[in-house]
Amino acid sequence: MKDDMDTVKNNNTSEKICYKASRLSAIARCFLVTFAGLFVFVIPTLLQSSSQSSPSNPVNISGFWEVRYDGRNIPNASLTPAAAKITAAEQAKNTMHVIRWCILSGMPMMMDSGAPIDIEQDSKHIGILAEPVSGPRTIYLDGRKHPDMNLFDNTTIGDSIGHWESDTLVVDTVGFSDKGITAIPGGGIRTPHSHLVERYRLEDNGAHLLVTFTWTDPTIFAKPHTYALRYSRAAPGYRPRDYDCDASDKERAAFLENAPHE
Amino acid sequence: MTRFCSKAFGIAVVFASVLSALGYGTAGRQTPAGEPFTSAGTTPDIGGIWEPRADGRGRGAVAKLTPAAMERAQKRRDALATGDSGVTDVARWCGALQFPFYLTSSPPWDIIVGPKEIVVLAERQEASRHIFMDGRGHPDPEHLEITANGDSIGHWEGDTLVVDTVGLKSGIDTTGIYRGAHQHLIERYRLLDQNRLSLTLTWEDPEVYAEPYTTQRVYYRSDPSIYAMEDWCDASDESQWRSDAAPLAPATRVHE
Amino acid sequence: MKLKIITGAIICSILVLAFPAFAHHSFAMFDNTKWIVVKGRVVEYRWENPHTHIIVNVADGPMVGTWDVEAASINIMARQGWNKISFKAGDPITAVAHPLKSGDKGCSLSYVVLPNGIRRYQDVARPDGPPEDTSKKPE
Repeated sequence: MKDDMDTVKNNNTSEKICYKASRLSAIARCFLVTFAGLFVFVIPTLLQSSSQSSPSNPVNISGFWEVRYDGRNIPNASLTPAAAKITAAEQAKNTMHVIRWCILSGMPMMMDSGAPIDIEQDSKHIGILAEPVSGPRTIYLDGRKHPDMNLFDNTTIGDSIGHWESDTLVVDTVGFSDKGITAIPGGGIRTPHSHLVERYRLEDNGAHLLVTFTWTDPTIFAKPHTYALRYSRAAPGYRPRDYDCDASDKERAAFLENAPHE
Repeated sequence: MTRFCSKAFGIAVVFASVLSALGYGTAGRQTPAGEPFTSAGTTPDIGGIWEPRADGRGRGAVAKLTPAAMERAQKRRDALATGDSGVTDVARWCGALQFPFYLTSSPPWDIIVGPKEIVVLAERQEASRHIFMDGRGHPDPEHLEITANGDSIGHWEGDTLVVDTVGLKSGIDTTGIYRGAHQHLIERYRLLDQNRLSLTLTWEDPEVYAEPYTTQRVYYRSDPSIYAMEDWCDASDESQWRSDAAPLAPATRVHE
Repeated sequence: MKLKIITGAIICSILVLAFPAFAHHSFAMFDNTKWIVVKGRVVEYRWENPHTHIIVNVADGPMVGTWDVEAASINIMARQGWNKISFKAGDPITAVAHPLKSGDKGCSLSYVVLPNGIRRYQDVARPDGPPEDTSKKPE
């Protein structure tokens, strides 16, 4: 009977151990199952590419943005000798012609035209809409490259592709035409050889949008030309104004074409 | 143990679901601007470039016109027969194309779904539309600006985007058609599948339609290789207009 | 009387709805019920807005002469597979089009027939062309 008792004792111990072990493993199993369940629901949420943001689209810069009186930092450009020959008077004449005939203005004028721009961003692309006469810009975020420039029809706004570097949106634009308002702040003009890199970054908890513009063009700039605009949010509930440009309006044409007199 | 486990599992599931619904996790992360993102999957993915195709042609009941509109339409039919489409001068001066022109035009257009606003980018410079989704109503009549694209506000009804537009210009529009001073257009967008977008357009105009007129059309998602183009128009370049049959004339102003 | 009203309503609604795709001149210039085939060599390929023009020289036959084949805007044509180098001077071309009512050597392009027998349309529409044309619509 001693053996039996011993067995029982032993059994008790081993049973205890077994029981403890089985309890532990049950708890462990339980946690495993619980966490598995959590992950089933949490990880898809984490990986979910939101229409507004995802690890690949970390910041949303949507909104109406305006350049206020203190929103410009524009150094003088360093021009090539050929570019330096293009006079301010010539540029002003071209600008007036474009405005008088309601011709598309394009870049860079549409980014600082006197009216707020509307930036709308989703996961695939960003649109930048300006009020005066200019087509909207589309910045593609889907990883595409620029189209074949041998087949591309150059435009006043070019072809723009963007990607994120941490919290900064970097936009690369080529394919510019020589039409529209070509003058660049600080000096120089936009040409088909222009290459523009912009960097967009929210500041002050989203109250401001800092955008730097770097133009490279061997025909115009002796070295890359960079200036910056610091946008503020437009008034809440802002509504953009109408496109309203009638090139056949005789009074309007007279105002723009004739020198003012006392 | 099993009971405890299932309870714990159940609690975890509920907890995670509640977190998810509240927008936590990546989908709920706040931007530096403090604007919460909405999680994907709550509204259909209508963003992207859409194009008309030959077989997406609109369907709709026959429009019931007012007597005045029928008279105008008859005059227009007579003019068309003589070669006068009525659109020459607006086109000649690169004039604004009013909404909903781009919906029956051939080039594709691009929907961008921002956090509080949807924009539609059409290639004509003034054709881009702002559809406010932030719950605002239309301005009251005293503050409503009459414009080429009108004032558009939108909201989702389940899987359908409903857009309400007022404030459109009256008079002869881009296409030579007369439009009244109290137009009210309602669009309903619904994905038929990932690559087809159905648009039902209801057009109210008491000066033209005796009762609201509804048409439906299907648009197709453009190939990913499609990119925006510029719709170049230079009113100062007379050589552009050499193929016109009609002599150059000043634009017909859209409002009176 | 009722029939008249209904017919009138149908005609009126067609007018109200079926306004032509944006035209800066009248489509009534061209006879859209007739088809012609302009087969020759490209003299000039003008890829531009508001309308692309292909100037074609037809060497002989009843259509002999220089033709102005007018097409859509580049925004429309680019999405049908055209681009600024689709044609160049000297290229052979077979254009299926609607002739000018006036009888002058001008036409409104519907499609060109590519060497592989597939049609490249100039716009979204997919009309069938003259009955004797056996070229194929694109997929």
